[in-house]
Amino acid sequence: MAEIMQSESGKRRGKKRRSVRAAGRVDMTPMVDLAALLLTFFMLTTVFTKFKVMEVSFPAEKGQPTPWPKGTMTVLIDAPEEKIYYYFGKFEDVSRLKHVSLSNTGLRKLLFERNNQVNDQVKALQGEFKNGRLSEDALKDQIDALYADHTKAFPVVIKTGDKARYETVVDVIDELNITNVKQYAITDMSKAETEMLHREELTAQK
Amino acid sequence: MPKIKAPRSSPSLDMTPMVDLFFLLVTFFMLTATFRNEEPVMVDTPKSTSDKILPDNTMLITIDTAGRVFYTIDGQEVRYKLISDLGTQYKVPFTEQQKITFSKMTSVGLPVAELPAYIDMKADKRKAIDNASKGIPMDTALTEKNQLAFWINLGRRHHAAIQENKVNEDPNYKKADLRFAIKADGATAYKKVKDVVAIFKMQDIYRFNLVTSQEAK
Repeated sequence: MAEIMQSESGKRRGKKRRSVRAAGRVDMTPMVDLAALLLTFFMLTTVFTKFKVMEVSFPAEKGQPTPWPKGTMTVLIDAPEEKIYYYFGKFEDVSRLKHVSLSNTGLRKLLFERNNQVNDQVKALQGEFKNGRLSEDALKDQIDALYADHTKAFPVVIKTGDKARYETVVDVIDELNITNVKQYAITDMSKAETEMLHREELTAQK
Repeated sequence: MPKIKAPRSSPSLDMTPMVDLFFLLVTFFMLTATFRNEEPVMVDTPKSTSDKILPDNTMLITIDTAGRVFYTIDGQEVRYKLISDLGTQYKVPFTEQQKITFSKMTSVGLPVAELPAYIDMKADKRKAIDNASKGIPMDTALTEKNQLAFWINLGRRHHAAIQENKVNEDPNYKKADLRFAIKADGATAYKKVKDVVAIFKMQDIYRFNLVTSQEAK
């Protein structure tokens, strides 16, 4: 394999011996093999997709619980499947829970529609920023103020039961991020809520 | 009639461009490679649309489907001091060599008392122990038994102290805050995650980075 070509010495009988002229041709196959091997190795061990993270704040349980404003939406998760229920406002005023699916047309649509007003205003502000009528800082401040206004941007409370899967909770938080809901909290379900949810599930099965 | 001779050409073809390309690629991959961290357990993280990447200087808690908890913290120096302190706390003597070995390891999920034997093992044997372990012991209260709370507390304290030292040495050094990340399997019961979060909350840590893999919107 690794031949270095030489002209045959036999032909040169009788003539003066010249220095052997070596053609500059080395067999590169082993080197190529090695290079290909290394290439494969590095390709397979390289991690291109770095993990992404989602920032979440959990509420402190010390001190007085903050009263949630009227328009609060509460999402209840207590099933190994992706089954979520919700209600608006205070639990005491609610007699039935509503079921919603974790899809584009389910929870996401609901959240988008609820935040229509704020989203439109944010869009208007961004338009003004593009026209140069608003500074970047002012834009940020005004958007933050909009999201903090509970009469327009409705907060969401995620309440979980013992049977909830981690994935479902992450999915719901992700939906909130997609729909620009900035105010949300994750807490435990109360006993009354759990009971109502199970009643709902029973009626759904019938 | 003279025979038609096929032009005889040498069967070896010029491989130089191919080799050039190969080496170019090899160099590229070598330089860009960040090796996959040795993970104690397989965790299939849920997907999200978030595009923030996992920050440096993280304390990472891995929770698998069975609810077993593994602990990782960035920084060899932090890990060295952490293991020394845990040894004193739980009266487990670690040799100097064991401390150094530990500072180079990534994640652990064992009670402190079982650590010396684990550290002395070869890497391939550790895997078997990881698979059989029950994770770092936890409790609902801040007691001796709540080892995870000590891991968190000591790790956080040493990280802060080391950053402080660096600032003292070099006033231009930018202090890096420790981030807290939770990496749980999507199929884990949320309750298990909540238990871990509760231990963090006891130490006034409320902000977390939930590790997810990326999904298109």
